[in-house]
This record gives sequence, structure tokens and C-alpha cells, in this order.
Amino acid sequence: MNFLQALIDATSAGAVYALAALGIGLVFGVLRLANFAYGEIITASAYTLVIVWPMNPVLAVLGAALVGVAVALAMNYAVFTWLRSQSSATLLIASFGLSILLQRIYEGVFGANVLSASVAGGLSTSIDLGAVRLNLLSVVTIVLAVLLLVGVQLFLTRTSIGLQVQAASADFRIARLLGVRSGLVIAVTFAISGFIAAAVAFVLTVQSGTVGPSFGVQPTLFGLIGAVIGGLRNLRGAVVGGFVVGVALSLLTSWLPPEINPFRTAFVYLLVIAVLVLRPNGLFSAGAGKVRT
Amino acid sequence: MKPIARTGAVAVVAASLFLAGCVSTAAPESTSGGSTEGAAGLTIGVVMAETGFMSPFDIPALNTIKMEVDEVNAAGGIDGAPIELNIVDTGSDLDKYASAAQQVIDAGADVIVVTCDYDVASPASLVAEAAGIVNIAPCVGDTIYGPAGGLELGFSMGNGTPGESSVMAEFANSKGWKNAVFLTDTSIKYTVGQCDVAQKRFEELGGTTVGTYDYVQGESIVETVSQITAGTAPDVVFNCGYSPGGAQAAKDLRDNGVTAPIVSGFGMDGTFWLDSVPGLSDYYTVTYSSIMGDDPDAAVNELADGYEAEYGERPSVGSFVTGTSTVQALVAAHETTGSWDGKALADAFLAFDGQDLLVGPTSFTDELHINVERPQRVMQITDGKLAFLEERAPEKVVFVD
Repeated sequence: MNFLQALIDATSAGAVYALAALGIGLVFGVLRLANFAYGEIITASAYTLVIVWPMNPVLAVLGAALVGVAVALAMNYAVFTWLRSQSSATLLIASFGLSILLQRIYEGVFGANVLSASVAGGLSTSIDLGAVRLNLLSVVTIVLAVLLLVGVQLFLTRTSIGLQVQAASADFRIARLLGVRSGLVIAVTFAISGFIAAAVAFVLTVQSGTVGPSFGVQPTLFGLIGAVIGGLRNLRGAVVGGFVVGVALSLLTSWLPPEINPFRTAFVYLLVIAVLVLRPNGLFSAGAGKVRT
Repeated sequence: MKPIARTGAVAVVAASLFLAGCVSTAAPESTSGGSTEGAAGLTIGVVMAETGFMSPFDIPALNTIKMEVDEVNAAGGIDGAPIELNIVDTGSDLDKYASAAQQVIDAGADVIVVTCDYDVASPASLVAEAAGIVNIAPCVGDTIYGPAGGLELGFSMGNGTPGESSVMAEFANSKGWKNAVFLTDTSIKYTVGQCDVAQKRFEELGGTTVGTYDYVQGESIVETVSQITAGTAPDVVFNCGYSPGGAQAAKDLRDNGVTAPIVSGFGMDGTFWLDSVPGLSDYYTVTYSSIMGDDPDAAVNELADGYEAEYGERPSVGSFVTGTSTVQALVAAHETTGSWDGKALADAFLAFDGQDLLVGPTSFTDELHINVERPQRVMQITDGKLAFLEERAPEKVVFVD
């Protein structure tokens, strides 16, 4: 297998986890919430895509984005608003409970079996370029990730509300004292993370064509791991961390000898442990966490 | 913690734990029918998954158990007594199986029927074993279900993996496919054993393995496909998996240019995943029976039609015949023993010699409480449509350690 092919595969995998890490990192920055239930936002959007796409692709994409934003906002207002002043541990446990709750609801509504549909089937096409094979979805994934990363960056640096989000991420208490509207900032952050979850759902449903109740768990887990490696308190670090996890997992799959290839995930966790031992706050973070009120 | 915040946290966690566990703590569902209600008869305790990840495999068999019980009871029951079903939905939660088995045994179950995977079902089976009660898995494929797994009173009505996988290899050989890639989902023992046996049998028949790769449920296998396309082109790919992971593997193969025929076992049976790979062709599955109404056994087609009339949809997988066969086997064994004693029933099962059950001729041995030599159905997927292709019994059954 040639190196270029492995690099293309790895970049595409890394882009998905970078997006997931971005969505998770955004919310963590403001609320200090490592949201385990992020996967269920991805799942909700994925169900929308799989169900609506055969009827109307445009409506499916719009619906998936809308559902992602709506579910994220609903999580905020139904649960996390009430827990805002609690410790990160309380928020984490609540998000874990919410994740299980939503998976059960999805199972009750859509059944335990998978639903399937060809979502954007044209993107599944591969182009043979001689030495390498280029899957259109890989290109779309990478482009989508770059666009969203740039979009979020512009939002954070060029808009008033984006600057408020940044201020709240830096020091929530001081930002509030300076007049930042905390409720609005948190809601906007959840909404953006929901939109990003819909993008992740799009890529993954095109890739798999199926969705089940636990669809979003794995990307969330690896996105969260990536965000921790990069540094949950540093959005750019979280994104890079997510990308690194995806790339590492992909390259290990490509290059590990067959005898130890089944243990590739263990090597990724080994990497996580090594990073956390050497840099407890992640590769790109420094200093202690901020206190919220 | 502020009261309202505490209330919120408690509410979320409590609600999720409730929903996670409610399926397994619900009161058992009892059903009986026919004109003989009230007389003492067989009580079957069912410890299976009507929800959770095992439910797609359990529900078809469970539904045909209900249908067969209704039919037996409508005809007067067994020796004039109705069959009672005491069903506990485990929610596929491994921690619930032992307690659920004890629950139905305490409620008077004579026999228990368990979920369709040894790893998941064994805690329940061992409880039944300790109580001296026959335990039946309608569609476990692992040969460990029986004495090898400590279950002297445990029997599977399923097709054992060695037979199923030998058929997979022999079918590929019959097509003249010489070079094979083996893709194994390592998340459960069933699929691991499936590829081990298929590879062994394929090589025995003169085939060559040009690649073996692993994956687990939820993973994309794009990198693996790149490795496959970079190596010797396979004539056939064995996809030892189950949906949705197996479907993802099939989609990744086709999306990334692997056009070789793909052969799978029962794990990839059914039509529910086919929309994810539009226009899928040259895909073959080895399974129990056809759900499409084109099975060579008219009784199977009749049952599938009846199933659709009863439940509003056709069975999702071909193992639906094993539910009917479970009740048929119990009725046949009781005709010999005249009792529901565990040891007596087990001896009657062991005396089966090609017993005519809907799932196929059934025999057990002291070592193997599962059938490995039954004829099976090879199904073909062409342009996204599933259809019966041929009936094929293993010419030789191979085993792996």
C-alpha cells in the first residue's frame, strides 16, 4: 500500500474527528462540559438524513442541520441550563445519563435495527488516479471540515457574539461582570455545536448508509479523546487533537502488521495516556481551568 | 448544589437509568391461548431481547415461538394442556440474563429459551442448568452452546458455524473462485469462528488466501480496502460480519472499487441494510431460509406469510424458522418422555435422528448440541434485491480449535 493512499485515507478520517472535537470543544470552552450526549445530536441528524433523503435531498440536509441545532438547544435548555453552576463532574455525569436516555428514546421511536438509505450516493464514487484511488467523499469531508473550521474561526473573531463566546471561554465570571450575556452565549455555542454535529452526521451517513440508536457514540468518543489530547481548554488544540486521533487510527490500521493490527485502538489509547502523563492539560493548553458562576 | 440544579441532575440520571433498565424490570409477559386454558401444561420461560442490540436476531424467532404456541394451543395443547409463555425482555443487557432466568424459573418455567448468542445468553443458560432445566437457544451458531460450554441441558436449534462456514467456502469453490480475502468482525466469537472455518475449508479445497483483515462494529474499513486493492486482486471476499458493521464493510468495498463477489453468513441476512449500498450485486449470504417467499420449502413460505399477516412485516432474517422449530422439538421430545423433566427432555433430544423440524433435519450428539450438517440456503443479492439461489448442504464440515 503506498504512502500517498494511506495519507489520503488518514486525512479524511482525521477531518471527521476534528469536526467532532470542534463541536465538543466549543461547548467545553464556555460551559466546561465534556458533552457525552454530543453523539446523540449526531444521531438525530443522521436519522433525519436517512429518513428524508429518499424523499427530498435538499430538505434532508436542511432538516438535519435544523434538527442538530434544535436537539443541541433542547439539551441546553432542558438540562444544562439548570446545572450551569455545578462542577464539571456533575455536568459530565448528567451528559452521560442524557446520552443513554436519548439512545433509548431513539430505539423506542426508530427500533433497535438500523435504518438504511443511500445518502448522497454520488459522493461514494471513487476515481482511480493510477497509484492512488480518490474517493469523492474524502475530498468532501476534508473541504467541509476546512470550511467549518474557517467559518467558526471567523465567527469567533469577526462577530460581536463570537467575541463574547471567546470572552466567556477565557473567563466566564469576568465576562459576565463585563456584560456578556451568558445565556445567549451558551445557547449560541450549543447551536453551533449542533450544526457541526449535523455536518459530522452527513459525512458518516454518506459513508455508512445506515443509522442506529448508538450511531454517534464512536465519533463522539474519539472526538472527545482528540479534544483531550489537544487540550479541551484550547479550541484550536482540540481540533488538532481530533485530527491527530483520526490520522493515528487510520495510519495504524494501514501500517500495523496483521498480528497486532487488531490492537490498533489500544495503541491510540496508549498515545492518550502518554500525552496526558506528559501534558495533563493537553498538548496545546496551559494553566488551570476557569471558575464559572 | 442548588435544589433546582440537584433536581435536574437527578431527573436526567434517574430517567435514563429507568429507561435503560425498564425493559428488563417490566413484569413478565404471559401468553396462552386455545380452548384448554387452566389445565397444567408446559411453561416456557423466554429470556430474550425484544429491545437492544440483540433484538433484530431474537425477535423473528420469538415471534414464531408465539405463533407456534398459539397454533398448538388452538389444536388442544399438549396432552390437553396449553403451553404458557413467560417472556422477559432483557433489553440485551448482559447483567439481566441470570436474574431474568431465575425470575422465570421461580415463576414455574419447565424449559427456558434464551437469546441468540452464546456470549450474551450463557448467564441465563447456566442458571437453568443449575436448576436442572433444559435451556434452548433458537439460533445460536457457536458450537460452544452445549457440553463444550458447560451446558449438558443446553441445546441450540441453530445451524452451527462449522456447517454454515463450510457451505460458504464450498459455494465459493463451486464458482471457481480461487483467491480469497477474509474480512473478520472481531467483536463477537461467532464471526471470528465463521472466517476461521471458511478459510480452513477454502484452503482445503485448493483456494489461496491473499489477505486477512479485521474490523469491529462501527469502524469504516477504507484503509483495509486500500490494502486489498494494493495487493493481489481477490476472486472473492468473505465478509464475516453482521449489520450494521458488515454493511459498512460491504459499502466501503464497493465504494472503493472492489467489485469481487462477496460471501457472508447468517449475520448479513435480511434486506434491512440493502438500501445503504444502492445497486449492490454479486453478494451472497448463507442462511437458514429465505424470507422472500421463494424458499424451496413451502412450509417456510407459508410461515413467512403468516408472520407478515400477524406482525405487519415479513421476518427480518431467515432464522425465524428456529422459533417454530424450538416448539416443535419440545413437543416431539415430550411425546417420548411424557414429562418436562430436564434430564429426560435432554435424553429425548439426544435421541433425535434427523428429526423433521421446520429448520431442517435435526440430530444431536453427546458432544454437539447443535446441528452442523443441515442443508442451508444460499441467497443472492442482485441490484439490491435478495433472492433464493440454491440449497446447499456442507460436503465436509471442518472445525477449528
